[in-house]
Amino acid sequence: MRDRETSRLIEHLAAEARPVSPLWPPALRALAWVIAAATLLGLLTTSHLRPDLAVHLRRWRYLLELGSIVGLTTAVAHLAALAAVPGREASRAVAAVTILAAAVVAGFAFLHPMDLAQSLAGFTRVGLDCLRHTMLLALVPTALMLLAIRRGAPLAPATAGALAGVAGWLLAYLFVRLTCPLDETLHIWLWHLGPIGPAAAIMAALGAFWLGRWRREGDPRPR
Amino acid sequence: MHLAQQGDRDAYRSLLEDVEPVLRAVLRRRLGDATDVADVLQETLLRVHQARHTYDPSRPFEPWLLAIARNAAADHLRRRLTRGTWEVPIDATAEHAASDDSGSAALEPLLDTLPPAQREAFELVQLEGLSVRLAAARAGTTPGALKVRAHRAYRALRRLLGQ
Repeated sequence: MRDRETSRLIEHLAAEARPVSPLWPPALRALAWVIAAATLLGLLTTSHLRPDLAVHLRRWRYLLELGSIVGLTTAVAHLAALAAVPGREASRAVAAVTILAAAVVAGFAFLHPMDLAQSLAGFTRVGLDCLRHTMLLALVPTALMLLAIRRGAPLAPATAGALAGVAGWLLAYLFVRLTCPLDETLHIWLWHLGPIGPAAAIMAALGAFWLGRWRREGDPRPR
Repeated sequence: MHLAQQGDRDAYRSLLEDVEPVLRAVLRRRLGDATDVADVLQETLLRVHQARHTYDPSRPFEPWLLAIARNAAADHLRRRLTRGTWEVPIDATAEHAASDDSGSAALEPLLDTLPPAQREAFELVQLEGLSVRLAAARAGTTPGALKVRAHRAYRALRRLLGQ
């Protein structure tokens, strides 16, 4: 039997019922994010493209690498968009595609030559510059994805935050591959791709704090 | 739910009344304690309300609804494990207010001296007997903020009654 408080709450909520703008489907939201964020990063990096880009764009291996990064970024963005909707989980197909794309991206990062003769000081100096560049590029897409998730109702805010961080970093990595001329395995893993782990952890912490706030807010979201 | 998303209050009320027993049964299985079930049920209904814009009418309603309920139950169990001491004041407030016969007669004029937010919090929780969550929803604030307001109101009243 319903208690008095629950009955009063139901009356209160019904009285508060205002029209709301439903979220777009997660796949569409993910695609919109990829297009919007990639456009912004494209504008930011258009004057900093690597000098040998025209040569690389004629190599199938380079194009496949870029394509795999785009695929993985889109897959992770889809997972992040799913995380914003209660009861939505990634299908086995989506999970399989994501894992496969991750393996391909990692594999391509290992296919580059490794220069063990470079000096540690030079490697670190150049690498920190690249790391800063990648972090700055990742800020925009990550912020956009966090805002998109916040628009939803994530039940696992830390996971959602981590996915936003990974998606943002991957998109930044794509544009770093278009701007950084250093195709060296250690450099790519340590300064471009490797930091994706700490980025995800930081975004998970931010997500736990910020993305879960909808559960503590009392007001519905009107149109 | 689709009608509720469009602002149909009657449809929304009917939906919430229909799902209430389903949610209560699910929460009872997960929580056991009747007091906890009522509390978490109200929390779940609030979250359903806050998240209603995320429901896709082309998809089944039950997975969406039950995901919210299970999540609310899990959060409640997690909070129970890590419950802080600052929840004690509001419980102590209820006990003291109930046992303080000498102060109840002089309460009304004393309530006028309180800031509006504190007075509202005290009245909702102590005089109307609402749960903290429902009172917070009525007051348009968070349960945490409402507890703080009610506790400050009690301390102020106790000081005045002591004088």
